[in-house]
Amino acid sequence: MDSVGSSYPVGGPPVAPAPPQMSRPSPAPRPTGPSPTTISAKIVVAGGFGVGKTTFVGSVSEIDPLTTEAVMTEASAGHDDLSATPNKQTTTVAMDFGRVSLDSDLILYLFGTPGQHRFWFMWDDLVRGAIGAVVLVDTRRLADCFSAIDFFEDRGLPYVVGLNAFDGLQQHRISDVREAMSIDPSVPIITCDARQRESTKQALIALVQHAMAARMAAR
Amino acid sequence: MTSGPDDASGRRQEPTFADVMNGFSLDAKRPRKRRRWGRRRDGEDETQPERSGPPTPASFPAAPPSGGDPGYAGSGYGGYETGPIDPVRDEPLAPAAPTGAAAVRPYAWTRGRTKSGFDLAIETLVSTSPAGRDQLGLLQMEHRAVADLCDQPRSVAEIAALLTIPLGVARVLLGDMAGLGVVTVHQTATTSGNEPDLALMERVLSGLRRL
Repeated sequence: MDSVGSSYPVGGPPVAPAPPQMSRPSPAPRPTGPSPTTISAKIVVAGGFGVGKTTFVGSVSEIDPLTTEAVMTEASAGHDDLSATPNKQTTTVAMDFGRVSLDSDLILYLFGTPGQHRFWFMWDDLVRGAIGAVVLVDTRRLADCFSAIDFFEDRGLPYVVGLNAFDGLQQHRISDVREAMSIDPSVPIITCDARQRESTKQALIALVQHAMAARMAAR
Repeated sequence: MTSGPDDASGRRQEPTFADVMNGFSLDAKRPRKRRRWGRRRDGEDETQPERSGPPTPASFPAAPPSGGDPGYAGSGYGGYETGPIDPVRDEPLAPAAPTGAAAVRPYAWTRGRTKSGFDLAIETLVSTSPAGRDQLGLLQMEHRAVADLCDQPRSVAEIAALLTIPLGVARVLLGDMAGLGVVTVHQTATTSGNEPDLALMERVLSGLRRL
């Protein structure tokens, strides 16, 4: 790299590069830089509003959680009334997500569900192809997560329940919570602290293990 | 379209709020041109002079700043008024429009389409193909923005978030670009079926443990 331009007279190479239309790339596959075999996987993080979903995602994500928006309905999005007001908050739904590179060719995405129930239409997109879901629960507001649990059970998506320890302490025993929420004994209930990376990691591990066990049991 | 000639000519002598604004924001030629338009319209409208009653003088100064669409404004008030309204609507807005990606209505990028030819999940990874990198300078603006981002594999959701466009728009754009061969669509966990396979879950598990 120290001999840049040394083989040419001043002013650059005398021969102009071939015009682009002549060197049109052939459709034959060529070696690619980033391998096209990089695979992505997805885990859903659900729970009521303010239960710590974004904190959970952020504690393990290698990027600051990003927010993406979807217009209220795909069908109506093409109409003028929506496209004319792209910043109208009432017609968009925000979804936080993070990214974890698990290997050189494996990326895991964590998607936080939109908190409001009127955004159910997003959930189909979210759960399609997901490994499973972590349902975060604030034991002071158990009912907030019922709809999420119902949804995952309906779709057959494996999930674990994570009791998020607010202020670092658990106020209820796991067995009490299981009974109160009438959660199937096969569904793991774990405690976690969404602020702690290690705790988040353990919750994710518990979910993947549970999902694998559920898959093998189904065979 | 509804005002009579006498009404309109009387109004032209005292400048409306819009005229004053034009004096600030436009070159001097513009308002004169607009007035010619106004005159022409007045001529057309002579066929229905009886409709000139409703617009009261007091209502005019308020109307131009709020009247966004000349089509609507013309139907409610005097036809000559479309003259002053037009420059107010067109010209001052243009410099205020944001630059960059947000300058274009999101679904204008997709020409109104909301569906993509490709089945792209929100976590599907996309990266710029070598062919796309070769012709980076030839790409249209929005494709170029995506191609620049996808130098390393990025998910559909990331692209939407980083370009601040709705997911649906990102999907259509990426579908177009994949069709052109500009980007490569990577596998997802579910490429082979509806659920991620065990081998992949195994890899995720060991990857998480290594974190």
